[in-house]
Order: sequence, then structure tokens, then C-alpha cells
Amino acid sequence: MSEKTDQTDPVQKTLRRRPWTRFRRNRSAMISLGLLSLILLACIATLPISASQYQQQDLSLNRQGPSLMGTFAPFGYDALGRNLLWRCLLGGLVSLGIGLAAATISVTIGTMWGAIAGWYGGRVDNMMMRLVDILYGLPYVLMIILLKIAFEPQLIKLLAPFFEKEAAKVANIAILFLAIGGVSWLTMARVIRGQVLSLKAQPFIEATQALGLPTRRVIMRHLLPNLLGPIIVYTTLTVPQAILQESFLSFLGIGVQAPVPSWGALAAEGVKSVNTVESFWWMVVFPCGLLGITLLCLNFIGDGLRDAFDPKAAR
Amino acid sequence: MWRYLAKRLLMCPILLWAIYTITFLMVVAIPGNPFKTSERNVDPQVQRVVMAQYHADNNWVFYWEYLGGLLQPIKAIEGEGPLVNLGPSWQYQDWTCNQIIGGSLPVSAVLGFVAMFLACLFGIPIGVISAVKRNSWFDYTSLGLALVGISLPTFVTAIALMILFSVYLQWLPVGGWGDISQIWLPAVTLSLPYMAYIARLTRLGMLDVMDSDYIRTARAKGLSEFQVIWKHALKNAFLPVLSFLGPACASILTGSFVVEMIFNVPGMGEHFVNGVLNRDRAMILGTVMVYSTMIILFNLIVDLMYAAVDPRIEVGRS
Repeated sequence: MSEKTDQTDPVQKTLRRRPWTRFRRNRSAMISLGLLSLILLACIATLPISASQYQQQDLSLNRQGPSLMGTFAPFGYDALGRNLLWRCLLGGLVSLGIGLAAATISVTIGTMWGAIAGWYGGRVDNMMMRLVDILYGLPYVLMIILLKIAFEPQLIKLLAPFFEKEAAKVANIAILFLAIGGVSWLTMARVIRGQVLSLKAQPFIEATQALGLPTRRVIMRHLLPNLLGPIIVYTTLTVPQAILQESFLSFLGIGVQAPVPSWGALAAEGVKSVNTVESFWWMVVFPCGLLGITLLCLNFIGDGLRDAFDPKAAR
Repeated sequence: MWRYLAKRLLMCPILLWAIYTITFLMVVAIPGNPFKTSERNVDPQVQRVVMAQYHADNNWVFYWEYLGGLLQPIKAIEGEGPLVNLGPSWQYQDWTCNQIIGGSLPVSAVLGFVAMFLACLFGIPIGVISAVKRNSWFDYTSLGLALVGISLPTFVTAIALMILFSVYLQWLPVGGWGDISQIWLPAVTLSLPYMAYIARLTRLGMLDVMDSDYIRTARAKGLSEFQVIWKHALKNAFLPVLSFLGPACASILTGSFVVEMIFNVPGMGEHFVNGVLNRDRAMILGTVMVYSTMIILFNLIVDLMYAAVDPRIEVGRS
């Protein structure tokens, strides 16, 4: 019923829309949004081609520079003579997928964790936040590697009947999702807990208590909508971090397994082939450029959203 | 204040014990150990003896032995061993973790200190100036540069700097350790993302503070704009930066694998990663304990500094 009033009441409507209006006025954020959509669209649209081409190798073409004449290879070829264009496009999908999956996991766990800790307070809060402190104390690189090594073989076995030959690839990417997501929810939990604590002290939440609303309803209808701002902001900031972490893991050689590409893996491959005699610049510049532009866009969007949701930024 | 400090200090061993236990459980969950390699054919009898010597055959015994070694004041006083004994490395069997970490931690700490110093030296003024001159070209340029710093993987910036300064300009050596000139490239690479974060946090903090009443009072008193900004405003705007600096210091001082590998610096970063990859249980636990001790200590220092910077905050009451 109340949802209906939201849609008809013009004041409510403008209030809901205000962040979006403010966001649209932020030019760098809007340009970033457009650019990011363009990259994402390009990656998705070319999936049928890139999926069939990404491991086609022609050793005679190894380390050939970018060329538009003859063969279509604007990004050049890698050390094994694979067309970098297709690898970059598919790699983008993998990288963005990891970012999104990690963000989803971190939002789900982080929000729940922080909301429960903040809402119930006292001993529950203490226990839950101490656990977060402890997990913070562990170096995340270690946690990711440990999670990956400990669970990957089991997952491959588990997935074997469903994916047959592809089980190893699927398990590898799935475990990366889980591992990176599993370490990135801590900040979210802290932020959300702080928000819940301050919201809880406000009169409108007290009013819901006085009205005797069930906890579920209070949390779903009154608490969560007010948490939406910080959640969205931190999600856009988690995505680039997850992508960076994957690139770091790929650099160590424990990220996505070859021949599956990701921007991080491609950049790491390129960096390793740089030498002083002959620079194969295209092997570094294109994956790094795409990675950099995407992360830059995500950060700009995150900043824009933070300004849009920040009531103080109305000035 | 003193009661609070005592309480926090008492919590430290409990937190460290919890971290130790969790890490231990995770390490036990990883299959494999460096004693059973397919490269060499070792007599099973010999293998058993070697494993027994490292307590690799019994997790329970290992857990308590290692825990006991982490702090052994009695042995240290009697001169029978170091105060903190991180055990013999499983992978590098001629070395103890104390020797390995003791040799590499100072290198990482020096590098990290220089990097953190650079990050603060440039990050804070950039943040302040871009907040004071909000929406100016300086603000936009520094924000853009900061985002670039955050958005590029370290291995890319490292290689880019190396190519520019070592290969083309030939101002600085490509890598290595031992000479003053060798510290700059890795330190700058390491400092860039931190610098960017510090600049952004300072800017946000300054924007918040510049509108508050006490700044108006300071101006009304006739203080110079320089004093208002750099003395009065920055002091409070620094709080969010401070809470970022705690964990950041701990992680930067214990080394970065990528930067140290690219510039060939014999720091501690590699032991974090190689310990896990080698299934070197003593090394994993040793590095984690060093790292988490640093984190806990720095967080404590930050909390105490909070009170020093902002007298409105009373330590121990939240």
C-alpha cells in the first residue's frame, strides 16, 4: 500500500530521485558511465567470436604488432600468436565478472553482517566485530591463496559431472569469485554497522519500535532503504578493487588459469615480455589501458554516487 | 586513559592467539607439505624421522609447540633461545624463520618507511590544496592523477617507471638493494596508491572541516589563512587519514611482493606468498604473526593518536 503512495506522492518521488538528478549533473561520472557501458557492451556483443577465437594460435604470427591491413588485429598478437583483440574482449568479461561477483558477495555478507551486528548490539555486536577485526589482521593475499588451494580440488571434483572437460576452468573462476568476494566484505560490514548504529538512535526507528512493528519489517522497510546510499557507493568501490586483486593474483600465476584470459593475466603476460631490446608495447598497453580505463570509470562513478547520496554535498 | 590502554594491551595476546588459531586451521586444510616431494626418492623411514623432527606428523603437537615458541621469556632470560621463536622453516631446511624474517623485514621496513614518507609528504598537501581550491583545475588534475594511481596495478606502474627512469633516462638503477639510489624507484612505485588514497581522504576531511564553526572563529580572530588551513583545519581533517594510516603502515612495512620482485629487493613480501605456495607451515604462521602484530600495534597507536589530535575524543569512551 505504501509503495503506491510513493509513486503518486510527488514530494516522495522527487526525494527518491534527488540522488539520481545530482548524479546526472556530475559530468565526469556520466562520461564514465557511458564509457563503461560501451566497454561492457563491446565485450558482451563479441562474445560468440571471442569465445571461439581466444585460443586460436598461429605461431608464425607471434609478437606481431597491431595491424589493420590483411588480418584484422588492431591489438596485435601475443607471444603464442594469438589475436590480442579477442583475448582482451573475453578477458574483459572475465575481469568484470570477477568484479561483479566479488561485489555481490561482499554486499550480501557485508550488509547482513554489519546490519545484524549494529542492530542487536551488545554482546552479539562485540563478537561479530571482533571476528571482523581478526580477519582484518590476516593478510588478504594469504587468505585468497589459502582459500583457493584448500577448496579448488574439491570444487573441481564436485563440478566434474556437470561440466566434464570444462570443470577445471569453471571451478578455477568460481573459486576466484568466492575467494576475492570472501575477503572484501569486511569493510562493507564495518561501514554498514556504523550506519545502522547511527540510524538506530534516530527518532523514526524509535517510532517503529513504539508502533510495535516486527523486526523483519523494520529492517526491510525502514533500515535497508536508508542504507542504500553507502551500499551502492561501496559496491562501486569494491568492483575495481576486486579486479585489481585478480590482476595481482594473475601476476603471481594463481589467478585465472591459462588459456582463459583476464585483463590482469594479459597485462601480467605483457609485462613479463617487456625487454630493453625490443618493446612489445601492444602486449602491455592494450590490456592495461582497458583495465585502467575501466577502473578509472568505476572509481569516478563511485565518487559521483558518493556525492549524490551525501546530503551534505547538496551545496 | 591508562585503564583503557591496559585493557587494549591485554586484548592483544587474545587477538593474536585467535589469528594464530584461524591461520593454523586454514594451513592444516591445505593438502601437501614440502617433505613429500616427487622430485627426490626419500626412504620412507628417513621421511618419517624428518617429519617427526618438524612435528609435521602431528598437528596437535605442532600447534602447541609453535604457540609456546611465539613468546618464551623464560628461555630468553636463561639465554637458551630468542624471545620469539618462529621455528625452523619447512622449505629452506637450513634456515630458521627467525633468520629469514629477521633478514628481510628490515629491508621491507626501510623501503616501506620511505614509501609512506613520500606518500604523506605529497599526499597531504595535494589533498589540502585541492580541498581549499575546490573545483579548480588543480583539484580536477590531482583527483584524476589520484584515480590513475589507484586504478593501475602496481606491476604496470613499476615497469613504466623502470622503463622511463632506468632505460631511457638512465638516472636510476633498474633494481637491487644496498645503495641509496636503488631505493627511489621501488619506494615511489609503492607510494603511489597510498599517496592517492591519502590525498583523497585529506580532501574529503578538509571539505567537511572547512565549514565548521571553529574555522570561522579562527578567521574572525584574524589568523592568517595559512594558519587557519594548515594548523587548525588540517588537524581535524587528518582524523580519517589517520585511521587509514594504521593498517596501511602495517602492510607497507611488511613488504609488497610485486614491487620487491620486480625491483629485486630482498624484502619480506616474497615470503608471504612463497610460504603458502611451498606449504611451508612455519613460514606462513611466522609471517602472519609478524603482520598481525604490526596491524594490532598500529591500530592501537592510531587510536591513541586520535585523542592527541582531537581533544574532544576521550579515549576509552565510545
